[in-house]
Amino acid sequence: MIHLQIVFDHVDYIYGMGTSFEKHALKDISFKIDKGEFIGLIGHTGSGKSTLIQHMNGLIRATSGKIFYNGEDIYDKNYNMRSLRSKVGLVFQYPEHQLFETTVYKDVNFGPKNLGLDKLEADLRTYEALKMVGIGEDLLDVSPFELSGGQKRRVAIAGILAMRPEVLVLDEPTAGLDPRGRDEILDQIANLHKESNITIILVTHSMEDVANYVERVMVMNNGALVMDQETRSVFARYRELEEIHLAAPQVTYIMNALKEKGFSVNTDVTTVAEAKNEIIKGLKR
Amino acid sequence: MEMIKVRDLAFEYIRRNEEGNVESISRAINGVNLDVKKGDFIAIIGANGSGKSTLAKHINAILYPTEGTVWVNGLNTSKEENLWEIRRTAGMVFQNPDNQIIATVVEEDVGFGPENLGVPTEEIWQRVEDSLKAVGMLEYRTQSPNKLSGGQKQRVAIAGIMAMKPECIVLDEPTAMLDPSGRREVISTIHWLNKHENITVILITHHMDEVINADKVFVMEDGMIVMQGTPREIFSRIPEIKKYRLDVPQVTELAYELKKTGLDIPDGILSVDELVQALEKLKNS
Repeated sequence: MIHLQIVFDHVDYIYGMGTSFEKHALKDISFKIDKGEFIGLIGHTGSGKSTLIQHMNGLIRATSGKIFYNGEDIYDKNYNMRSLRSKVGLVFQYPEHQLFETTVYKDVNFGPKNLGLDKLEADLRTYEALKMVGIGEDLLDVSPFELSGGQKRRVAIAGILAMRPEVLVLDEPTAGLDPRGRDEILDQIANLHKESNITIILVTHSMEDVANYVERVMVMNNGALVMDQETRSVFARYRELEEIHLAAPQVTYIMNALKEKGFSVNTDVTTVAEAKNEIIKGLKR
Repeated sequence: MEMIKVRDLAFEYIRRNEEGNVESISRAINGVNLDVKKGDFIAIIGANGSGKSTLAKHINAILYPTEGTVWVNGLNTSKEENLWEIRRTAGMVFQNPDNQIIATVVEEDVGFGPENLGVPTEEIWQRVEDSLKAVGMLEYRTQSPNKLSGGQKQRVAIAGIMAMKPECIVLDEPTAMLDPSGRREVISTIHWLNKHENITVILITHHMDEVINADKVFVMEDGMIVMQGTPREIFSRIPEIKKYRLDVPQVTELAYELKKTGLDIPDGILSVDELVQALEKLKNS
């Protein structure tokens, strides 16, 4: 059953309107997101990705157009914008910059406490959130600043999860992490998606991360949404992606090069595992 | 004479509390020996916390050894009288472009370095022009840096270092905040400088695909160099690389997986072309 969760209807955003710094940051953006989707949002630096996601939880208000959450118009005067912020959790880049408490537990507890929940409920959610991101009990009383980069990041994400969002938007969650740290955090996010069916939107510059984890890719270029399809279909258009300063995962280039040399392979694959199988099959054909 | 010589280097970060008493000591570099020849392009990779940035900061004397010695062009970095000469010889480019650009006009930012070195005025402008040309940013000379993309800003930062006519440039994760095309621009710029201006390059990065064209690669863990060799040698040792929390380019991983199934594929495949050639040989045999 499809449940339309987020709908953008011809959204435009212009900042600095009327000044010499005027910038048309979002141009006629329309799309629909169903509950439980796992989406990647890619685009060159300055293409409008961060601006777009800040419209999803009402941090920025569209200049024109409509946005619906669970069927309700968020710009309606009776709409509870505050509740939208706890339903759509936004994790900004370098989330560890928002850590401030003296212990991991207290930092994650801050959100639910401020939602006005009673102590028992707030504590329950704190434990739940920390478990979801794989932070063990041995770290609860440790200062967040003693943790590794990847751990800090997971604590920051737990702080958002403790608000029980229905949608989790992560802006470059792997920025600055080493390869193993990247894998750990993305695996954790993928796990979260599988177990709680939370809708996930991943903003990233890594084409490999997109290919390995998401089902649908939205591509931005200069403020416009230029592609919005399932992962394979987007990367099949790799030449168009290159023209807008992006790329496809290396695997895509390998498969296309092999096809040009006469190998009978499906160029639709986007991960190493798929490529391996296709190549073995292709050698036998 | 080596461009850079490091002998028995050790470095400790000492954390003090408010009273000035030592709270903790962290031995970030624990015995490093390194030689870099003039004109080399070397890469240093390693997990977060392995000591890469700490090592890099010794090369232009931002940090001084706790133990051991670092020489840049024969000059001991611990001697204060050598500081200006060392900083003129070895320049550093950091991760965040916004933290390195200080002027409101591109050409003025590039001219800042030579101006502070006391270079005569006409020569400053000549150097500004040559440096911007070398990084492909001359047409943006009168623009405001805040209108540039991340990749463009990093290239301006590199031009600012080039204008000081260094013999060596150290880049600490210069592409971490850039999109794929920005990354390509910056990496191809530094290769160009290495080849055509004979600038010694030391590149610290988490992106394995940026390392494949280096002359030599050093892998760090826990403040020590644990692997060293050409990119091909290093990337042939995949299980070991993964042990150090690192990764290999997708094409290298794919070749390794195919080899594991019994196919006769050489070790250390680094590029799409090499894999295609290896597979063609198999197909035709």
